[in-house]
Amino acid sequence: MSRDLSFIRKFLATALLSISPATLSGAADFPELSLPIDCKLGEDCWIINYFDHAPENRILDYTGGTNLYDEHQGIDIAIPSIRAMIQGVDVLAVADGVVLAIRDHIPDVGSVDRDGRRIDFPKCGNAVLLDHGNELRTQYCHMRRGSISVQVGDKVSRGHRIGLVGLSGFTNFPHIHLAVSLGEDKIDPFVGPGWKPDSGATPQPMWTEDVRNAAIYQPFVLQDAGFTGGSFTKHGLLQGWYSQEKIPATAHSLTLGVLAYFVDPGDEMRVEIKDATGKTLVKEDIVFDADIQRHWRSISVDRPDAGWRSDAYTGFVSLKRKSGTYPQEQKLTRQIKVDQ
Amino acid sequence: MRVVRLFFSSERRIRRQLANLGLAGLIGTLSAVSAHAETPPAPDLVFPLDCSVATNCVPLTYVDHLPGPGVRDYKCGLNAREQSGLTHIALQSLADVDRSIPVLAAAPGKVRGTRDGIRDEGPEYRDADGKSPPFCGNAVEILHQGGWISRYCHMREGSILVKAGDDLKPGNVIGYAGWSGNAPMPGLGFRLKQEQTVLDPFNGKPAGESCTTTGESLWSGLPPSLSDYRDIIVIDAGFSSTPQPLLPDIIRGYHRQSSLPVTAPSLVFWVLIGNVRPGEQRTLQIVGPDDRVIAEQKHLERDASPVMLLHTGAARPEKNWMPGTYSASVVISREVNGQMVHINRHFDIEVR
Repeated sequence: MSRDLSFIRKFLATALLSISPATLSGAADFPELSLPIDCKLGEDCWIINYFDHAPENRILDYTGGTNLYDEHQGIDIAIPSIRAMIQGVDVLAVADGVVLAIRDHIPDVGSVDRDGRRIDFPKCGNAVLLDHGNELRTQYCHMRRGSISVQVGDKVSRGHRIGLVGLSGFTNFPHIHLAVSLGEDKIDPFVGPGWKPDSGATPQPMWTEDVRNAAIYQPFVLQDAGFTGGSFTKHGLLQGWYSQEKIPATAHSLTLGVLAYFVDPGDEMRVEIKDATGKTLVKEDIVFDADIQRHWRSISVDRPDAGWRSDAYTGFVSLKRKSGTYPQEQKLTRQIKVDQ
Repeated sequence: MRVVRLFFSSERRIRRQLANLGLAGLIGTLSAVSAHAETPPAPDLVFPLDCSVATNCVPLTYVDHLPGPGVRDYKCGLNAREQSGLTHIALQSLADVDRSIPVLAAAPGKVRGTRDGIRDEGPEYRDADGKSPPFCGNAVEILHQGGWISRYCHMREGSILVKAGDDLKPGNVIGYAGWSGNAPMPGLGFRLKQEQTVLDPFNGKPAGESCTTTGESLWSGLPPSLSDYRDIIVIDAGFSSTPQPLLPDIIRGYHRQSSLPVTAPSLVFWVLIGNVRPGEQRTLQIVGPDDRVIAEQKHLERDASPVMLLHTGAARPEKNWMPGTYSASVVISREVNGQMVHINRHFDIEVR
């Protein structure tokens, strides 16, 4: 019965959209959606992987960009590190609703074992499914095992803490995957139900005004950089080990590690370490010639014969896209002192 | 025996004074007439982990002083690993590993060698060939005066700062604590050895030498909380809203809520204890703000385990939890050398 109704509403919604999007500006009977996670976009969390609007084997986010992977039917919001995940980042209900289902027993080990083999966990990992009425549902994936703080049947209000961000299911970095669905259809909350890339329709974002203002589209993400006095590993940067303020004087070298998402051919990256006088100690310029979903890079400087300086060293990273729909430059700086 | 011990003890003191006066050369002469003439004097040691019992660490296992089967630590207690010369200082979780806890050179010396590249996944780690990690994990060895070698085990992957040949002063940072190799908990394994002699830094006596002989600690300036001996070691305790907290998650650093909502699906109290022996008796209890017992668990242990997670708890009542302070307690009785030893610890949580 309810499925029949949903079909009618979908039909109407699509029909209305194709006639006059403006008439839908009341956005039907749906509540606006707030962020599914307790963080500030662009500061301590980033949208990495938008919703895929392209047919099979192609990728296209709602802007025409490529910040996503194939068949991604939701929005991923990443947090800085596994360290932040262990400290605990709250997952929040995006609107008032009722808990329909939970799963809370998947270990936080991602989906690939040490040898690169797939581990067969449910893709969504530990999860909460909320029903907001009128067939609108939201699902929260990859949550931390043992963190889900609601039970089936619980009523929750917008912003209610339902658990913590984790690393369970099909994932290799700590993030929350928000899937919005209307009946059987998965919806991109940046454009609302019924929108298609070539429809000519105006997107009807489902977000609250706060989220609409904060979620400025990023075609690529220069996510993190950090210094280590030991050996740089990708794992160490993802783990959050390279956010120290000081490095012991015993260190033989200073290494600046960088993590960036969605590099395109032609993108230019500069990584540089300078001392306090502004002198460049090491610099690398890279022009990419391929699509790279996740790029790690590190550069090192050896301890000078006279020993480390007592004032701070600075790492500069920039990633620049000169052409395309979204030319942009993102920059990060990191400072480090060496103990004397 | 007593005379020899007194002599040995006063000799250490004299040696230290001579060393302080820059007269280390005299030490050899003194050693030649000492009861342990064949073994050069051990260096005084800085505690090799920059941690505190109040916040993040506890000595979990000491050097084994019992030759043959069974274990005896330097206090004749059971906090040792079979035939092991490592002192293991445990951190409470991998969250402490993330905080970069410095590992310090225990005495002046030259770096003899290092090993790195092993993931911080404890004994469960398997390399690309499916092999278990080397026991000591990521490690540094330092050569000191008199041929003494200090070894630092289980360090964090990529954290080792020093290289073979580096000259180090006591207290120099050589890397950070981790969980590589065969250790029951994240932390640091430390060993001091000369030829075939492994010394217990807590009493200056060789491994395998009876725990009933007393000696002098090699540590200098060790805070009482780290030198205090505990018969029963509580590594950490906490509260969670999940009915079944699991050991790997506790080691990761989960389930340490400082408060719980009245809607929490469960209210669970957990305790992580070390060196569990068969026959020990335990009671865990949670008492609500109205002084009613909401959960209780009594257990007579059948197994031995280097670390064990205990927990008790209850599911949310129909009308949510009563707000207020919930008090949990853990009582453990263990037989050590024919004597019963006990602990009784309390932990509180606010439910709002």
